[in-house]
Amino acid sequence: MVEHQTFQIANSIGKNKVLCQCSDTLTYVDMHTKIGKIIKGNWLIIGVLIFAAVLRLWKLGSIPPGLTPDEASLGYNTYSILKTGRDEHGQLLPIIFEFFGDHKPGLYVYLAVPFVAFLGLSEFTVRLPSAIAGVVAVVLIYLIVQQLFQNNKLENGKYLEKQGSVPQEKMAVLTAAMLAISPWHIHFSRGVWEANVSLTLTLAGILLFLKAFKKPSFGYFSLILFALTFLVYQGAMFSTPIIIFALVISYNKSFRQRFSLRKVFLFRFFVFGVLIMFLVGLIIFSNNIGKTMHLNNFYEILRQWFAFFSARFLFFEGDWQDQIYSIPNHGMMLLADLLLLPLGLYVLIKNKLSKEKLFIILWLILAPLPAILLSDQNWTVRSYNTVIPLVLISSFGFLYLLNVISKIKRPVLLVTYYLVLFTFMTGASIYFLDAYFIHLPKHNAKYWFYGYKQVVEAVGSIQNNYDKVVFQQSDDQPYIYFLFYQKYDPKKFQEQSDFVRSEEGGVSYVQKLDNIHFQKFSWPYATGEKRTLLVGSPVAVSADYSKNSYNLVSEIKYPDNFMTAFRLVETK
Amino acid sequence: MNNELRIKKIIVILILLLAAFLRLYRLGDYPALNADEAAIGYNAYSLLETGHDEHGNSWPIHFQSFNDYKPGAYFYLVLPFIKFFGLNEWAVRIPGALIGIATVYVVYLLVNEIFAKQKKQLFVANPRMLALTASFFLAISPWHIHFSRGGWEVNLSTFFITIGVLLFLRSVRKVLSIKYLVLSILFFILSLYTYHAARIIAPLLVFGLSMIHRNQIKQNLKRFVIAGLIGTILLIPLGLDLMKGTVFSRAAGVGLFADTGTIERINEQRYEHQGTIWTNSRILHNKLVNYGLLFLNNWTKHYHGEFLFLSGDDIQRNKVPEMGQMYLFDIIFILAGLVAIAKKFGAWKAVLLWLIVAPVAAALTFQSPHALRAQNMVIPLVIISGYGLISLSSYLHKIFPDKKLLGLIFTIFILAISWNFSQYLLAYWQHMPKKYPFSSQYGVKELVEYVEVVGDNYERIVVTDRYDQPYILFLFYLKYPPERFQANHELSVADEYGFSTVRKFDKFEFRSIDFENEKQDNPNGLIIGTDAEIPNETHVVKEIYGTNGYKYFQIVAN
Repeated sequence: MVEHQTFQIANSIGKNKVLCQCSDTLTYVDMHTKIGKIIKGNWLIIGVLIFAAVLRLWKLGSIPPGLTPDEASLGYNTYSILKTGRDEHGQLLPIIFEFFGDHKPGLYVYLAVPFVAFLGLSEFTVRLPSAIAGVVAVVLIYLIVQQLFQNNKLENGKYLEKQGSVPQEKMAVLTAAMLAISPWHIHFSRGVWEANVSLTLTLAGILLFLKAFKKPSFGYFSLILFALTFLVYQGAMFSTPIIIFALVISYNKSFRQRFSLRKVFLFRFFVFGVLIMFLVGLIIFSNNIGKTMHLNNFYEILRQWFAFFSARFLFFEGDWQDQIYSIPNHGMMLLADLLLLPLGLYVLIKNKLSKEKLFIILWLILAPLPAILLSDQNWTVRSYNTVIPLVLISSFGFLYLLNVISKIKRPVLLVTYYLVLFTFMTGASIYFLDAYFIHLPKHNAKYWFYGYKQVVEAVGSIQNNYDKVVFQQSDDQPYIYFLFYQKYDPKKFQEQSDFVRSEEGGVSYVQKLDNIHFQKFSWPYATGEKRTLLVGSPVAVSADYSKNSYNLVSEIKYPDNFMTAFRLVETK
Repeated sequence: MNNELRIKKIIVILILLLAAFLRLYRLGDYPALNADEAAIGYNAYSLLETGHDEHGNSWPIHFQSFNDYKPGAYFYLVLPFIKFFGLNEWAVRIPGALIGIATVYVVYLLVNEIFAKQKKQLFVANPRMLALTASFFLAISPWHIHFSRGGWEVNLSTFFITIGVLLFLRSVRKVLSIKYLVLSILFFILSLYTYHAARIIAPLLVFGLSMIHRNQIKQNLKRFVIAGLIGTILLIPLGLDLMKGTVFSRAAGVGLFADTGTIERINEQRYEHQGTIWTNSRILHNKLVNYGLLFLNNWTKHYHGEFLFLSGDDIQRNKVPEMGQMYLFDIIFILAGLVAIAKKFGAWKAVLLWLIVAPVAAALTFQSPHALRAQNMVIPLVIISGYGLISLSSYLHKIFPDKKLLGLIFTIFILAISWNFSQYLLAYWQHMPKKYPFSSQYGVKELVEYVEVVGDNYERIVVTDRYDQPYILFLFYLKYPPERFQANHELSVADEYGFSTVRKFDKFEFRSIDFENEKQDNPNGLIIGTDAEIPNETHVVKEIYGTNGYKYFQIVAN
């Protein structure tokens, strides 16, 4: 206790010193105390938001390079809905869309409609809803943290400032900033990831849930928002119930104290329903649809869990199973989090467990479950919600560091430590930004299906010169790129389209679009016809084309100007 | 109280007996002797007989051996045992096993020492309970048993480091008593003479411990300086030997910089900057950053749950199949221990420091995680795990006043521990030699026994070099006269990892067998190859099986 007091005194002395040194500015601020405070308080978060927006919107159309088939498909369906009110299969305003034979909820399509309507169909407009959702998430986390720690509940020890100051404001801005720069969140905000929109809806749901303690009617809106996640993202049937479960466990007591029996009952009824959905979803996924997926056994779950919380995944390599989810030579978190996360966990564990902290811990432990229980590859998407507790905990760590430093008495040391901390954070941020904005477009181009845009343009300009264009068929679903980049008339496509299911069932393909035939062929491929254009990967259309009576039309290169993405050849 | 103390003493003795049984039972014949152990044994033998090691160096600090320049302390520890018990497997291994048992006791003392003055920093009233649990966990630790059963230098260095930490802390407790401080420095320095990795870990530990207790040291700076001076003097011989340069070749061979993939990555990264807004990226993509990240990556791998609890090291020689380096139950106890430590941090600085420092040397090499080089990590881990068990128990005791429920929970604990322990015993004694037949040099002893009987009938004996360094095992089992060997052999040029071998001594030649050629070149010779090297239709005079039932050699008389 004595030690604690001396710390406080020392702390206040240290502050006075700092204050004295800049007394000139202080008088100026004193004159405008009120206005100054308001502007200052809000400018910080506004600055963070601008930062978040820049990181999510800058070059959104070209970084990541190319479009995944899923992105192109969502984009074209948006276009189709906009022009005809029907999706590519001719369904009138569906809720569940069929993408390549896979049935998925499609709220994202409707979110993209206004952007495509006003700005035209492009990579940028398709990705825009997710990017905007990412910026909104930053606002929401700011409000949530304010709400969570409004009574300084986090603070039971020495590491946070005392009552009267505003640690929750500091914490809120800090968390918002950490989310704004979070590699995982930026990656999933820049691209058509339904999971990202679902996360933003979940955050809004959590915010309203917390607000409901003051204004009960928010509770209903909260539930509506949680329910909306199911319409936007298939995996939400795992991830959203987990969040609700964590909320209920943590806030059960306060809930009972605050609300009437009837409301508690209704709420439980809803929660119960959601949990049943979770179980049903799990059973469906593990038995019927997912023949490639099954529930993991105990050892496998442990192994996956460790892999999820490994430094390799979080800091050094990211998702090493599937490159599309990761940033080259970078983990899902900032390198600085290697220090901040353990510190944050220490802060979290050290003091008494409040319901807010319990919520964060439960969220952290349970959110990876959808990725860990099932044995397929979509790890990083399924566990995407974990980014929030991770960022929160990092921010605790950062705040703790700031507080430790602010207690240092000697000004020289103080400045040095702040400088070190500043360099440390900017260094880690620059390393990430470099990896994302400079390296990813080149290094990961092929995982992002780079080359389809270029090949569609190349083929489109000359396809009428040929009787027949043979395009290599694959799981990349090349037809969708032709539809997307040629802005193919949806009505025309709906009339002529014939989808063919693959032999194993599941995936469906389109085999013909005007004079373009999508088909698998093995090299050397003899068409037997004149005036044919053959398009495929450099493996499918080998470099010895001239021996097999073909002439080269052009080659599409990857951004490194070295590897070939596509080769176009015509019959001699 | 007195009675309680007596009970605890009895428990300590029981734990030590358990540790001794696990480390001494069938020590001589299981697992089979490996080439490094044979080198230790034969060099010690050679020193005793001639005053020179196998290559004719007189009383060296580093033993040249396979040109890997092994630090010498363990060799000298083995010396008296070879003197009295002769050159055999047991004599090479018994010092290691005894040191392993001693380490268990030292950990008991260490935990008592750490919390002697700071009982309030624990969730339990009595630090002795924690000391007992920690030493019990070390006694049954797969990681520690593995390297105690054999001539592993690392085990001796871990012992020295542990006792060094113990004495350092005792010295601090006794107002920096010079006696303990000098002793502590002495043991730390002994560890430097024992094992390469200790040369990084021990200085870091001493530095860290000094930082933790900087206030006491400032007050008694004189004593600290004196101890430091004595330490420096003791380091001079080692320093002089290291300056010869040859020793460093080993470090360079396994070091981070041996991994050229990093350089390629730097070039790739710089290339990717071409044509972007930021063309000269040297400030971001350089050796410092990339090797720094590689080091960090390696370092964190040692804390990966997969390594610690599920699969263990990648190298078969360093592990038991189907297991991590620790037990499965340690997951819960270590987690609980860390949580409890976070709640009351005070006295745990030393243990946490050790946990952080322990894998640093291993992380500086290109194979990570590495159970051998990071073996000293097991000490902080068992202490934390023991603390987890105890604090979890006292926590459960608090929230479940109901005796029956508590009893049930403890039964589950005990069942979990014994289940994991029996799994380990099965894996170590039954599965290891069958699953990892090449983890140790099985079969060579049986081979040499046969060759000794029939060898005189042949002019030349050609042996395959498929299994590690066969020459040293031949020397060892033949008890070949060292003076004759020293005069008549030469070391081959070092391979890419910096290792050399002896291709020929006496009538023995070691190389990979190209059967048709050997048959022509060696009339009246004995050709010993692996199953794969000897063609099927050849007339094999003898097949050699290891104790694990695996067929290692086929012998053809020409």
